[in-house]
Amino acid sequence: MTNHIDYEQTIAAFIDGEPVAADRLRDALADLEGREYLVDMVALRDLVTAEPVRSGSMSAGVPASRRLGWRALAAAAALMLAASGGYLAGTRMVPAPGVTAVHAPAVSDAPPKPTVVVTVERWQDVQKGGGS
Amino acid sequence: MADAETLFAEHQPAVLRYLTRIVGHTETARDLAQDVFLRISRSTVPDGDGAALRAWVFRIARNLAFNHLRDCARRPLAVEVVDTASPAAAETTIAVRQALQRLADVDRDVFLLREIGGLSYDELASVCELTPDAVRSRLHRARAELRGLLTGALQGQRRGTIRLWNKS
Repeated sequence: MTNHIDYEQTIAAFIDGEPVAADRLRDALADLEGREYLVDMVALRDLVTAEPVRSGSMSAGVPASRRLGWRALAAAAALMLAASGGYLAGTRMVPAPGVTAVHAPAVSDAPPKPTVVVTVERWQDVQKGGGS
Repeated sequence: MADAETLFAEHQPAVLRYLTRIVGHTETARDLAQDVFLRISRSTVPDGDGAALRAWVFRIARNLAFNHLRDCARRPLAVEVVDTASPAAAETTIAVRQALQRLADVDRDVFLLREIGGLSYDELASVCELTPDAVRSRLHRARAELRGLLTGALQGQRRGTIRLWNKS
């Protein structure tokens, strides 16, 4: 078994362009299995290095990371567009030189002043419906 | 000293084939190959002979492919439609892809870097951070497994013509 593996590794090294001992290669190729291994390894190389057959790809073929990448890019572009649009609209609303801006009165946190003050003389029970 | 353009001309087809086999999707492989050479164009190409530079290029490709696969591990697998106009070729493509998928990650990587990248055993050991003996052993295991998994496809190959091809 060790010999068998040794033969295969010698043949593999030979077809891989690695240096091999000539007598070991001779021994390996003297064996029918060795010769078959050589043919199979060269055939395997042909199979693997051949251009894979394809006709097209489904959207699922595009990795999700890339799809997400494009979506993120589109979202960022939309945000930038919205932000710059808002900025431009804002700058256009700034009054031109020479025009006095009218400011709304400042809003105070204090409660409004009462307009009518009702003074209660004595305690009165008030019934539902407005009657006393 | 080689520049990025030279490296692109020399290695782009093999890098693309390697990435296609690793990620299993042509369009994604194309994007990744573009990333590889973009990264190379932004880097200082190290001094070294052709073999060392090939190892450098494939190390970048391998890292990008692994990062991509790590990202994809959390998401659904990529699906590629295979041409049904040539059923025999399509069948072989699917069989090869499935067989490669069944290999252990490192075995598959070592095998593809050898067969498609044309890296020597020493270069493989350096790129994959293995000893040369481990490279031999993993290559042997990958080949034995693929030989078993692709019996039908190999029989077809045996009836046709084969060519001893060596990039290096």
